[in-house]
Order: sequence, then C-alpha cells, then structure tokens
Amino acid sequence: MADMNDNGEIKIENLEIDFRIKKGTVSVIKNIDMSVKKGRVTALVGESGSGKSVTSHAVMGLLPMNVKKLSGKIWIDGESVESLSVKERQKINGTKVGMIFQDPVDSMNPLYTVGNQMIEGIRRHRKISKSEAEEKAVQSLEAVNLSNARQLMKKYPFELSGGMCQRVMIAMTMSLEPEYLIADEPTTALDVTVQKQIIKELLYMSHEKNVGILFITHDLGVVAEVADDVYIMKDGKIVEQGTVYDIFDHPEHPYTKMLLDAIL
Amino acid sequence: MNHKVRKLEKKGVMHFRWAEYLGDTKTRIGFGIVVIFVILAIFAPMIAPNDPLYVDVINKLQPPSRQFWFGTDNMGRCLFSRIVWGSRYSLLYSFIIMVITILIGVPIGLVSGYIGGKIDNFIMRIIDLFMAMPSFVLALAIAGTLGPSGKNLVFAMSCVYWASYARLSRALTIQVKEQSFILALKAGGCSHTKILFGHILKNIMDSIVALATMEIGGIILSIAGFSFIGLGVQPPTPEWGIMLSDSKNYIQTCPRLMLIPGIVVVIVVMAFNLLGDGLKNGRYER
Repeated sequence: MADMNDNGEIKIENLEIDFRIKKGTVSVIKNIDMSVKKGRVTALVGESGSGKSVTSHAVMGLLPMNVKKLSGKIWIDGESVESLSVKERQKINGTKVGMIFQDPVDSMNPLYTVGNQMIEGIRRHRKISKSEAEEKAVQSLEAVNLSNARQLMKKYPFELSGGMCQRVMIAMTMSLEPEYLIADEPTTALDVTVQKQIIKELLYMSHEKNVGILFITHDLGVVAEVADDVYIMKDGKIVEQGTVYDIFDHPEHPYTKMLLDAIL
Repeated sequence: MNHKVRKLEKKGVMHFRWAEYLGDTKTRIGFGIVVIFVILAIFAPMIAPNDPLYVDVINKLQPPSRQFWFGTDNMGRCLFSRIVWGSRYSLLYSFIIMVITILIGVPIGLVSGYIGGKIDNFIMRIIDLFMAMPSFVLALAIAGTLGPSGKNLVFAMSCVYWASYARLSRALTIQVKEQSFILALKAGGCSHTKILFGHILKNIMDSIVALATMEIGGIILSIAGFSFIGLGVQPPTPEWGIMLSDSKNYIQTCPRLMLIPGIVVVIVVMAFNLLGDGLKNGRYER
C-alpha cells in the first residue's frame, strides 16, 4: 500500500438527482463531487433528508423508480457506472461494491436462516460447491469475531440481536471480498458499546484488506473515530470537505460548526 | 449438550407454529372435517359400500338400511356411495381449479406489483375488469358457450377466479418489496427473478394459502351450482350438484334425496371456511 493514489477509487462527478413527485419535481442532489479511495474511510455526514442515502444508492444503482433526472458521472475504478447493463450491474454489486444498511435485522429475509442467505449470496457470485460456500461463510463469520459460527448459520435473523445481525451482514458482505464497502448508517440502530465493536470491524476491513469504505452517518462523534476524509452534506449539497483533522480543527462552514456544537 | 439445546429450540419453534395455526377450536373442527372428506375422496373405492353407478330400479327410494346407509335414490343407486364418490369429484375439481388459478394469478400479481408503473396499471385495469363482473355469471357465460362438460367448467372457472389471487399477491408484493432486505438483496447483486420467486414469493405464500383455503369452499359451492343447472359435470357422474338436481322432483315424496347432498355441501364449505379463517387469524396474530 505504498501508493494510495494509484489504488483505485469510486469517483462521483457533478451528480444531480431529481425526484418526481405529484406536483412537479424535487431536486434531491445538487452537483456533488466526491471520491472514495481504497484503504481509507470516507465519511459522508449530514442530517436526515440531506441526500446521503440517495447518493449511496446512486452508486449502487438502487435508485427508486420515480427518479426523474440523473446526470453527472460515477466511476468505479475508472469504469463508468451508467454504461453498465443490468447483468453487469448485478455482477458488480456485492463483488466490487458491498453495502450494509441501517437496520441489520430487517436487512435479512426473515424466512431464511443466516447460513442459507450467506451461501446463496456466495454461490451467486462464485462458482463453488455448497459445502465450500458453507466453509467460506463460517470463515467470514469467524472473521467478524462471531463465536459458534456453525450454530449461528442455522439461526433465523429474528433470533439474533441487532449487533449480531450487523456483524452477520458485514460477514455476508465481506465474504464476497468487495473492494469497496458502502455503510449506510451501520451503527445508528445499535447501542453505544456495540457501535464501538462494529466500528472496529469496519476499521479492520479498511486497513488490513485495503477496502475503501464510504461511511454514511449523522453522528460526528463516530466520524471522529473512523474517518480519514469527511464530506459534510446539507440539502443535497456538499458544504464542506477535507480530512478529518481539517474538519474538526478548523470548521469553516457555519453548518459544520453547528454540527460540531451539537455533539453531546 | 449443544445438540440437545438445538433440538429443544426446534421443538419450541414447531410447537409454536402448530399452536398458532390450529389453536382455535373452530379451526380444529374445520381441519378435522376437511381431513375426513379428503380421506373419503382418496379412498372412495374402498369406503363406498356399493357401486355408485349401479342402477337397480326394483330397490328405488329405499329408506336407510344396513346395506344402503342413506337409502337409495330414484334409480335405486346407493346414496351413501354416491356421496362418498361425489366428494372425490368435488374436491378434485375444486383442487384443480385452485391450482390453476394460483398458477396463473400469483405470478401475474408478483410481476405486476414488482415492476410497478404503467405495466402494473395496465394489468390492474384488466384485473378490475374481471373483478367488476359477477364471477358466477361470467363463468356461466363461458361454460355455456363452450358446452357443458367437466373440463369446460374447470376452464371457465379458472378464467374467472385468477383475478383475486393476482390482486392479493400484487398488494402483498408491493408491501414486501419496500422492506429493506429486498434492497440488501439488490445491493448483493441478486437477480430480479431470484428476488421475486425466491424471496418475495416465500414471504407472501402463507397469505395466499389462507385465501386459497377460504376460496375453495366457494369453488365447491360453484361447482355444485353449475352441475345443478346442468353446465358442469354431467350425469351419471356422482356429483353433489347433480345429485341435488336429479332429486328435485322428489322433494315432496322423498326429501332425504335432496337434504343429504345439500347438508354435505354445507358442511364441507363451512369446514373450509373455518379452516381458512383460522389460517388467516394465525397469520395475523404473528
């Protein structure tokens, strides 16, 4: 990891998104430029409704049907996302860019066991046998410090706690060895002690496995702990950006100052 | 030790499920009656004491006796045997119609709800068209045009009844597809077909089974109705509707001939409704 710049990145240029509503349109994202570099944690901070999640969904190609205008460019490792077919898109999702969500328990199908879902996910992208996939699933569960992984594989999501579920989600995502991970408020639904553990896992991924993480949150306290680069977002615009030291030591935009004051 | 814990846990889950679905006395009664009639239908040749088609005019309109448990009809056929065989035809036809309507309606509803937008609107208008017309009359028109036979009846009723399954599965699909695990699946690169038929279908299946159980009573009733007016299964097949219509001339002299098939139809339809209700309630209590 000598040369960080040649390492590849997710690059968003001039992204603009409008949503169609009953009367006319709403502009949700206005001219955003940002980049997520491999091996670094990039935090995207903003209040509810500022467009954080929409940005991440745009990267994953998960935008809802009522998107009216989508302009600007998104590159993943130099490959333009817009030119991808549905098949290629599905191939990249998971293997190249993984995503974990705010509500871990709801992010799994309640009717399948953890093992079922992990094996399905792994076999979707890797042509390996069921027992090999199971082996891999167990390994990745153990990698996120879940003990008793084999028993865990037989459990249903509702039998697990929120923190365990989030670990399972991380394990599920990381079992495909993606190069980037989008974490959409991964710690918001968890209590503080569990938050810390989950953040530790994510930091480990980023540093040891050279994964580029886009960490979406509204909690600057968390940002101070994990992030390398920070983008502050308000009403669909990036109002301030810089390294974590810049932001915390010399906040320039009044909104950033307000956010900093709001830390408990 | 761990093994034991697992086993106990599993038992807990299983027990919970059965208690949830069959906890109600009414549901249990319905379930019991349905099971009895299914057994009657499957083992009809063994259970029926006499040949349901054997005409013996000398013994016509016999009162119940040891040989003819419910007596004989106007042509001397054993009424009990005919009821037993009739359950086979009624259940078989209604089961076939139910399977066909589910196979047509559910995929249409799933796809329509999942895609949404204009395609969904278009499909929904077609479904509205089918739902707007009284289903019995529409099926009557189709069956009447095609000519009376069991096969045509199945076709006519399947054409009409798929709409309600399509509507239900569309509504449920829209509900399920908004849940975050669907988004997670997409983010994991799962294909749309797999999401639709592997994940959404499994999530809405129990509601569809509950609706199917509720509707099967109605279907049995309709089959009997069509047979009664002569558009369904044709005589001399022992079918409850036919038995009713055959014996309508004897309502004064020998009301037993009409009462028994009529009561049997009522009991079966009621049993299916009780069971369906129970399944539905069990689902919502979860």
